[in-house]
Amino acid sequence: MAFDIGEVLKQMISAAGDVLAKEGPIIKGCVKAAFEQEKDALEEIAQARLEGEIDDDDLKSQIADEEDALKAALLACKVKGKVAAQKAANAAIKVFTGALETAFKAL
Amino acid sequence: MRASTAVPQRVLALILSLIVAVATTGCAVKLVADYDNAAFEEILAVGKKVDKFYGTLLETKADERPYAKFSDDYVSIETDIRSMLLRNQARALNSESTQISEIILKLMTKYKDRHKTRNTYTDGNARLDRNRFTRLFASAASAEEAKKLDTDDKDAEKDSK
Repeated sequence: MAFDIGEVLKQMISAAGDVLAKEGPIIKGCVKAAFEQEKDALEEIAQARLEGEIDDDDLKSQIADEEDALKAALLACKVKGKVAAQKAANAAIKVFTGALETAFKAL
Repeated sequence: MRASTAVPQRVLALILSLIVAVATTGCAVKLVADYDNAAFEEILAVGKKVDKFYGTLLETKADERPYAKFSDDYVSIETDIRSMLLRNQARALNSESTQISEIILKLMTKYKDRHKTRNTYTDGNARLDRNRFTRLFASAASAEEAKKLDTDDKDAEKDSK
Protein backbone atom coordinates (compact mmCIF):
# COMPACT_ATOMS: atom_id res chain seq x y z
CA MET A 1 0.00 0.00 0.00
CA ALA A 2 1.41 3.42 -0.94
CA PHE A 3 0.86 5.95 1.84
CA ASP A 4 3.88 8.13 2.49
CA ILE A 5 2.81 10.45 5.31
CA GLY A 6 5.85 12.69 4.78
CA GLU A 7 4.94 13.21 1.13
CA VAL A 8 1.27 13.70 1.97
CA LEU A 9 2.16 16.31 4.58
CA LYS A 10 4.32 18.13 2.05
CA GLN A 11 1.41 18.17 -0.41
CA MET A 12 -0.98 19.36 2.32
CA ILE A 13 1.30 22.28 3.19
CA SER A 14 1.66 23.10 -0.49
CA ALA A 15 -2.12 23.08 -1.03
CA ALA A 16 -2.71 25.34 1.99
CA GLY A 17 0.14 27.60 0.89
CA ASP A 18 -1.32 27.97 -2.61
CA VAL A 19 -4.64 29.09 -1.15
CA LEU A 20 -3.00 31.57 1.21
CA ALA A 21 -0.80 32.96 -1.57
CA LYS A 22 -3.97 33.67 -3.57
CA GLU A 23 -6.03 35.03 -0.67
CA GLY A 24 -3.26 37.02 1.05
CA PRO A 25 -3.24 39.98 -1.38
CA ILE A 26 -7.05 40.20 -1.12
CA ILE A 27 -6.84 40.61 2.67
CA LYS A 28 -3.94 43.05 2.39
CA GLY A 29 -5.91 45.06 -0.17
CA CYS A 30 -8.92 45.11 2.13
CA VAL A 31 -6.92 46.50 5.06
CA LYS A 32 -5.19 49.06 2.82
CA ALA A 33 -8.55 50.24 1.43
CA ALA A 34 -9.97 50.51 4.96
CA PHE A 35 -7.17 52.86 6.04
CA GLU A 36 -7.31 54.87 2.82
CA GLN A 37 -11.05 55.40 3.26
CA GLU A 38 -10.43 56.38 6.87
CA LYS A 39 -7.85 58.94 5.82
CA ASP A 40 -10.35 60.47 3.36
CA ALA A 41 -13.07 60.53 6.02
CA LEU A 42 -10.83 62.26 8.57
CA GLU A 43 -9.79 64.83 5.95
CA GLU A 44 -13.46 65.47 5.23
CA ILE A 45 -14.17 66.00 8.94
CA ALA A 46 -11.20 68.37 9.31
CA GLN A 47 -12.41 70.30 6.26
CA ALA A 48 -15.93 70.54 7.68
CA ARG A 49 -14.53 71.99 10.92
CA LEU A 50 -12.30 74.47 9.05
CA GLU A 51 -15.29 75.65 7.02
CA GLY A 52 -17.41 76.01 10.16
CA GLU A 53 -19.91 73.31 9.16
CA ILE A 54 -19.37 71.58 12.51
CA ASP A 55 -18.23 72.88 15.92
CA ASP A 56 -15.58 71.51 18.30
CA ASP A 57 -17.99 69.17 20.08
CA ASP A 58 -19.15 67.77 16.75
CA LEU A 59 -15.53 67.38 15.69
CA LYS A 60 -14.77 65.23 18.75
CA SER A 61 -17.92 63.20 18.22
CA GLN A 62 -17.22 62.70 14.51
CA ILE A 63 -13.69 61.48 15.21
CA ALA A 64 -14.99 59.05 17.85
CA ASP A 65 -17.50 57.71 15.33
CA GLU A 66 -14.74 57.20 12.81
CA GLU A 67 -13.08 54.77 15.25
CA ASP A 68 -16.21 52.65 14.94
CA ALA A 69 -16.30 53.01 11.15
CA LEU A 70 -12.66 51.87 10.88
CA LYS A 71 -13.38 48.98 13.25
CA ALA A 72 -16.28 47.88 11.02
CA ALA A 73 -14.12 48.04 7.90
CA LEU A 74 -11.41 45.94 9.60
CA LEU A 75 -14.00 43.45 10.83
CA ALA A 76 -14.96 42.85 7.18
CA CYS A 77 -11.26 42.19 6.44
CA LYS A 78 -11.15 39.81 9.40
CA VAL A 79 -13.95 37.78 7.84
CA LYS A 80 -11.90 37.56 4.64
CA GLY A 81 -8.93 36.38 6.70
CA LYS A 82 -11.00 33.69 8.38
CA VAL A 83 -12.38 32.57 5.02
CA ALA A 84 -8.80 32.29 3.71
CA ALA A 85 -7.75 30.21 6.72
CA GLN A 86 -10.82 28.01 6.26
CA LYS A 87 -10.09 27.49 2.57
CA ALA A 88 -6.42 26.71 3.28
CA ALA A 89 -7.21 24.20 6.01
CA ASN A 90 -9.82 22.46 3.88
CA ALA A 91 -7.50 22.34 0.87
CA ALA A 92 -4.98 20.52 3.08
CA ILE A 93 -7.65 18.15 4.39
CA LYS A 94 -8.77 17.49 0.82
CA VAL A 95 -5.20 16.41 -0.07
CA PHE A 96 -5.10 14.17 2.99
CA THR A 97 -8.43 12.47 2.26
CA GLY A 98 -7.45 12.12 -1.40
CA ALA A 99 -4.22 10.36 -0.42
CA LEU A 100 -6.11 8.08 1.95
CA GLU A 101 -8.67 7.19 -0.70
CA THR A 102 -5.89 6.41 -3.18
CA ALA A 103 -4.15 4.18 -0.62
CA PHE A 104 -7.46 2.51 0.19
CA LYS A 105 -8.13 1.72 -3.46
CA ALA A 106 -4.66 0.20 -3.79
CA LEU A 107 -5.44 -2.44 -1.16
CA MET B 1 0.33 -17.78 4.10
CA ARG B 2 -2.04 -15.97 1.84
CA ALA B 3 -4.77 -16.00 4.50
CA SER B 4 -2.48 -14.55 7.16
CA THR B 5 -1.70 -11.48 5.03
CA ALA B 6 -5.29 -11.04 3.89
CA VAL B 7 -6.63 -10.51 7.38
CA PRO B 8 -4.37 -7.58 8.36
CA GLN B 9 -5.12 -5.97 4.99
CA ARG B 10 -8.85 -6.21 5.71
CA VAL B 11 -8.32 -4.67 9.14
CA LEU B 12 -6.19 -1.94 7.63
CA ALA B 13 -8.83 -1.34 5.00
CA LEU B 14 -11.44 -1.01 7.73
CA ILE B 15 -9.32 1.44 9.71
CA LEU B 16 -8.57 3.45 6.59
CA SER B 17 -12.21 3.54 5.60
CA LEU B 18 -13.03 4.84 9.08
CA ILE B 19 -10.36 7.55 8.80
CA VAL B 20 -11.64 8.51 5.35
CA ALA B 21 -15.19 8.64 6.67
CA VAL B 22 -14.14 10.86 9.57
CA ALA B 23 -11.94 13.05 7.40
CA THR B 24 -14.59 13.53 4.75
CA THR B 25 -17.56 14.13 7.01
CA GLY B 26 -16.43 15.43 10.34
CA CYS B 27 -13.08 17.14 10.16
CA ALA B 28 -13.48 19.95 7.67
CA VAL B 29 -12.67 23.31 9.16
CA LYS B 30 -15.40 25.91 9.40
CA LEU B 31 -14.53 29.34 10.76
CA VAL B 32 -17.27 31.56 9.33
CA ALA B 33 -21.01 31.30 8.79
CA ASP B 34 -22.35 30.27 5.40
CA TYR B 35 -23.26 33.09 3.01
CA ASP B 36 -26.85 34.22 3.56
CA ASN B 37 -28.40 35.88 0.54
CA ALA B 38 -31.35 37.18 2.58
CA ALA B 39 -28.91 38.86 4.98
CA PHE B 40 -27.00 40.39 2.06
CA GLU B 41 -30.20 41.75 0.49
CA GLU B 42 -31.31 43.10 3.87
CA ILE B 43 -28.03 45.01 4.25
CA LEU B 44 -28.54 46.61 0.83
CA ALA B 45 -32.19 47.45 1.54
CA VAL B 46 -31.54 49.00 4.98
CA GLY B 47 -28.49 50.84 3.66
CA LYS B 48 -30.62 52.30 0.86
CA LYS B 49 -33.30 53.34 3.34
CA VAL B 50 -30.76 55.12 5.55
CA ASP B 51 -29.26 56.87 2.54
CA LYS B 52 -32.73 58.01 1.40
CA PHE B 53 -33.40 59.31 4.92
CA TYR B 54 -30.31 61.51 4.76
CA GLY B 55 -31.10 62.56 1.21
CA THR B 56 -34.55 63.74 2.31
CA LEU B 57 -33.13 65.42 5.40
CA LEU B 58 -30.51 67.31 3.41
CA GLU B 59 -33.15 68.40 0.90
CA THR B 60 -35.11 69.94 3.77
CA LYS B 61 -34.13 73.47 4.78
CA ALA B 62 -31.82 73.42 7.83
CA ASP B 63 -34.30 75.38 9.96
CA GLU B 64 -37.13 73.01 9.05
CA ARG B 65 -35.68 69.84 10.53
CA PRO B 66 -37.34 69.42 13.92
CA TYR B 67 -37.00 65.94 15.38
CA ALA B 68 -40.75 65.30 15.25
CA LYS B 69 -40.73 65.59 11.46
CA PHE B 70 -38.33 62.64 11.22
CA SER B 71 -39.25 60.54 14.27
CA ASP B 72 -41.31 58.03 12.26
CA ASP B 73 -38.37 57.49 9.91
CA TYR B 74 -36.05 56.90 12.87
CA VAL B 75 -38.43 54.31 14.34
CA SER B 76 -38.68 52.50 11.02
CA ILE B 77 -34.92 52.57 10.38
CA GLU B 78 -34.07 51.49 13.92
CA THR B 79 -36.48 48.55 13.61
CA ASP B 80 -34.84 47.49 10.35
CA ILE B 81 -31.34 47.70 11.84
CA ARG B 82 -32.44 45.67 14.88
CA SER B 83 -33.84 43.05 12.52
CA MET B 84 -30.49 42.97 10.69
CA LEU B 85 -28.69 42.58 14.02
CA LEU B 86 -31.00 39.80 15.18
CA ARG B 87 -30.50 37.88 11.94
CA ASN B 88 -26.75 38.10 12.40
CA GLN B 89 -26.88 37.16 16.09
CA ALA B 90 -28.92 34.05 15.25
CA ARG B 91 -26.18 32.65 13.00
CA ALA B 92 -23.26 30.66 14.39
CA LEU B 93 -19.70 31.75 13.57
CA ASN B 94 -20.93 35.20 12.69
CA SER B 95 -19.41 37.48 15.35
CA GLU B 96 -17.88 40.00 12.92
CA SER B 97 -21.11 40.69 11.03
CA THR B 98 -22.92 40.91 14.36
CA GLN B 99 -20.42 43.50 15.60
CA ILE B 100 -20.79 45.55 12.42
CA SER B 101 -24.58 45.58 12.88
CA GLU B 102 -24.11 46.63 16.51
CA ILE B 103 -21.93 49.55 15.41
CA ILE B 104 -24.55 50.64 12.86
CA LEU B 105 -27.29 50.48 15.50
CA LYS B 106 -25.15 52.31 18.08
CA LEU B 107 -24.42 55.19 15.70
CA MET B 108 -27.99 55.48 14.40
CA THR B 109 -29.25 55.64 18.00
CA LYS B 110 -26.62 58.24 18.84
CA TYR B 111 -27.59 60.47 15.91
CA LYS B 112 -31.29 60.07 16.66
CA ASP B 113 -30.71 61.13 20.29
CA ARG B 114 -28.61 64.09 19.17
CA HIS B 115 -31.34 65.16 16.75
CA LYS B 116 -33.90 64.82 19.54
CA THR B 117 -31.80 66.86 22.01
CA ARG B 118 -30.88 69.65 19.58
CA ASN B 119 -34.15 69.43 17.65
CA THR B 120 -32.20 70.03 14.46
CA TYR B 121 -29.61 68.26 12.31
CA THR B 122 -26.91 70.42 10.75
CA ASP B 123 -25.79 70.04 7.13
CA GLY B 124 -22.23 69.35 8.26
CA ASN B 125 -23.16 66.49 10.57
CA ALA B 126 -25.75 65.07 8.16
CA ARG B 127 -23.30 64.96 5.27
CA LEU B 128 -20.54 63.32 7.34
CA ASP B 129 -22.94 60.87 9.02
CA ARG B 130 -24.47 59.91 5.67
CA ASN B 131 -21.04 59.13 4.22
CA ARG B 132 -20.13 57.12 7.31
CA PHE B 133 -23.27 54.99 7.04
CA THR B 134 -22.48 54.36 3.37
CA ARG B 135 -19.10 52.95 4.42
CA LEU B 136 -20.60 51.00 7.33
CA PHE B 137 -23.18 49.28 5.14
CA ALA B 138 -20.47 48.62 2.54
CA SER B 139 -18.42 46.93 5.28
CA ALA B 140 -21.43 44.84 6.29
CA ALA B 141 -22.06 43.83 2.66
CA SER B 142 -18.38 43.07 2.10
CA ALA B 143 -18.27 40.83 5.20
CA GLU B 144 -21.32 38.90 3.99
CA GLU B 145 -20.07 38.65 0.41
CA ALA B 146 -16.76 37.20 1.66
CA LYS B 147 -18.66 34.18 3.01
CA LYS B 148 -19.71 33.21 -0.52
CA LEU B 149 -17.52 30.19 -1.23
CA ASP B 150 -16.73 28.23 -4.40
CA THR B 151 -18.44 24.86 -4.81
CA ASP B 152 -15.20 23.04 -3.95
CA ASP B 153 -14.82 24.97 -0.70
CA LYS B 154 -18.43 24.31 0.20
CA ASP B 155 -18.00 20.58 -0.38
CA ALA B 156 -14.93 20.55 1.80
CA GLU B 157 -16.68 22.12 4.73
CA LYS B 158 -19.81 19.99 4.90
CA ASP B 159 -21.02 18.79 8.27
CA SER B 160 -18.34 20.51 10.24
CA LYS B 161 -17.79 22.79 13.17
